[in-house]
Amino acid sequence: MAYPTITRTWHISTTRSTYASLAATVGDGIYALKEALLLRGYTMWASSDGTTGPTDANDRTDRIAASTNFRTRATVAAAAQSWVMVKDGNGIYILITYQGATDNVFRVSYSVLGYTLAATKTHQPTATDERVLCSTVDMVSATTSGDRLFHIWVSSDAKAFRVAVAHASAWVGGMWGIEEIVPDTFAAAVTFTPTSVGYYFVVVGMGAASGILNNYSANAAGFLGNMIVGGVTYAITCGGVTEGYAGGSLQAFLSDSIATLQGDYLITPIDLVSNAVGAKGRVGSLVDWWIGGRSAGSGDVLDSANYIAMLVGANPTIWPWNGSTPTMA
Amino acid sequence: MTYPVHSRTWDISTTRSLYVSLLATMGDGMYALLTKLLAQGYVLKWTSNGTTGPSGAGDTTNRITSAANFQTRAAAAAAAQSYFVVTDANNVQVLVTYQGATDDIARVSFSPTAAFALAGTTTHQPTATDERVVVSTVTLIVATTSADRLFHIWVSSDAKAFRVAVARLGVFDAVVWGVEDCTPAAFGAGVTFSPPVYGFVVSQANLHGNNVLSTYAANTRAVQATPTVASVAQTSLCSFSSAAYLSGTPAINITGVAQLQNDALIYPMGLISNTAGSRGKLGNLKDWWTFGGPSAYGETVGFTNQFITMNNSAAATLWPWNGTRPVMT
Repeated sequence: MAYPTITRTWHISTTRSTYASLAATVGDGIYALKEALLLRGYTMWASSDGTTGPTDANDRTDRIAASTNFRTRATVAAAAQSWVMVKDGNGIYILITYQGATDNVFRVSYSVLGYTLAATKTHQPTATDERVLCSTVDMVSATTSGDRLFHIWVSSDAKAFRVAVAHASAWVGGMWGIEEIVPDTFAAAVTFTPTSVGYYFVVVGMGAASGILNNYSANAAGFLGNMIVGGVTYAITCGGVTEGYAGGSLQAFLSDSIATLQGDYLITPIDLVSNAVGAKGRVGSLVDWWIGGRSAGSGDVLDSANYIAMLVGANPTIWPWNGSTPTMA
Repeated sequence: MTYPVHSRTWDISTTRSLYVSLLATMGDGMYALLTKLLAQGYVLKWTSNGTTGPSGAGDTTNRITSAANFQTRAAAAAAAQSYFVVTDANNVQVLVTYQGATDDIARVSFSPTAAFALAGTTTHQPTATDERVVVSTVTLIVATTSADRLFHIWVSSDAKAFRVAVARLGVFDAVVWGVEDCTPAAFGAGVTFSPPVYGFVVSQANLHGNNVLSTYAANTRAVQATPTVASVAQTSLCSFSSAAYLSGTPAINITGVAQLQNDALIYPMGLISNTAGSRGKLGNLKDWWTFGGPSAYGETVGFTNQFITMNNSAAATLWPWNGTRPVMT
């Protein structure tokens, strides 16, 4: 069958973190992400290496100049911690801060309106419209051994990024990112600007049956966004939608069988719907995000490695890939 | 919100059958259907009034010139019965014959290659090697021996689609059925679906919510099509598809007003098959939708009555309507 068209120009890289400690692993991963984002046009906005923060709101110094600068973890907002804030091509402020109960946890959030520095600049910045993608869950696997492979997708227009982590030939932690989608048609009193969503999925949530098509669940599955309905800003939470039947997706309907009529396994696009009170309805269509019909193994790729399955099991999420054999261990 | 655009130009009519008997009711309805089909370009092939059938294969005399001519019921194929065969603009033949165990039952079938042949006794049921029986053992008009029936009949002006629904005492009752073409999907090599025609019967209980998206069930939620795979004509037992979310359509899960669209959600429907040998997507239906608004039987949607709900659930199937207020009793 014809594979779906990849809309964005993605720069997809893999960074190995040779295992030394969980803190070093997180440092390696976030440093690699920051580097990849800045390379594609994201703007460094503010940062803290856990010892020194911005001098003021206009200090754009990149203090995460090495992975060792992102190793200071705090358990709460009001404590010194490593953090980095970048601004994407839509003007969205993205904050990644090393805050969590254990070394394998960090916090990811974003704001459309912008963050305010804490009085003590090494503490976590705050925003009135902040949307927290994840804050309490494992991001890199808590196992204290084994290299991690940070697979990082960044769009050339600086309007989308994705992160996934492999360890010992398996996807671990979660998959997360912030990206622009194609908006639906809205009623007159509704605005969705910029048309971006953030998300975090635990690995098992990256399938049609297990997560993508379910309602939002904090720190587990689903998409977050900001929409204005009748002058009121809503923190929308979204689930995915794809073509299907009463029992789930089209792929589930076919029980992971090949679609004889199409001569291949089906791949279908995903839309988002919000079931948030006051802001229910169709939100838009994800870009370069699909449900696949073939039960996948770890790091399985499709079509000359132009696509990759993000779940081990049935009906996996399919993302674009870079033509290489993924390094998973 | 913006309502979907009708794909077809429909002639939508309502014929009242004043209740006299089930036999007369069936005659009224099928005579009205034949008349409407011919008016929109269907070509008469054969008819039998139960007493006289075609003199030969070339005899296209219309013997159903009144409702009284469609009142001879048989309990089996090999017995004299009222019937008509018409050919649609896709060269698909449709047979409606008064055959059933009781007076409220008739048999509807189609031959995608126009292959019907007359029986030796031409008042008996014609047969076709590729016949697909749409409905044969369930009531088409409700068995209750009282009250008028309203035959709502949809016929496409291109003579490629028709639908029948029956109302009684303010509700749609029994089943809806028809034979029509769809917009075919993209197929793999060696697969054809031409003409892309399917026959369907759906009971009232299956015209809402998840039910309409559930898997094939003969005579109650049954859709049949005949794609060809590797030169072999398949008998595909199909299901309807729509946007799936949480094991159903968003129009089911987000019922009522979707604030983002300022109206109830409406999603198009597709045709899928899980029959061995022809698994996959067959096409997209024309002018079938799932609807998330509150519904009553025969309620119209939109300010100009261009759509009608076919069930009284919170997530009914939506069909086109003709701008009038439906007569339901």
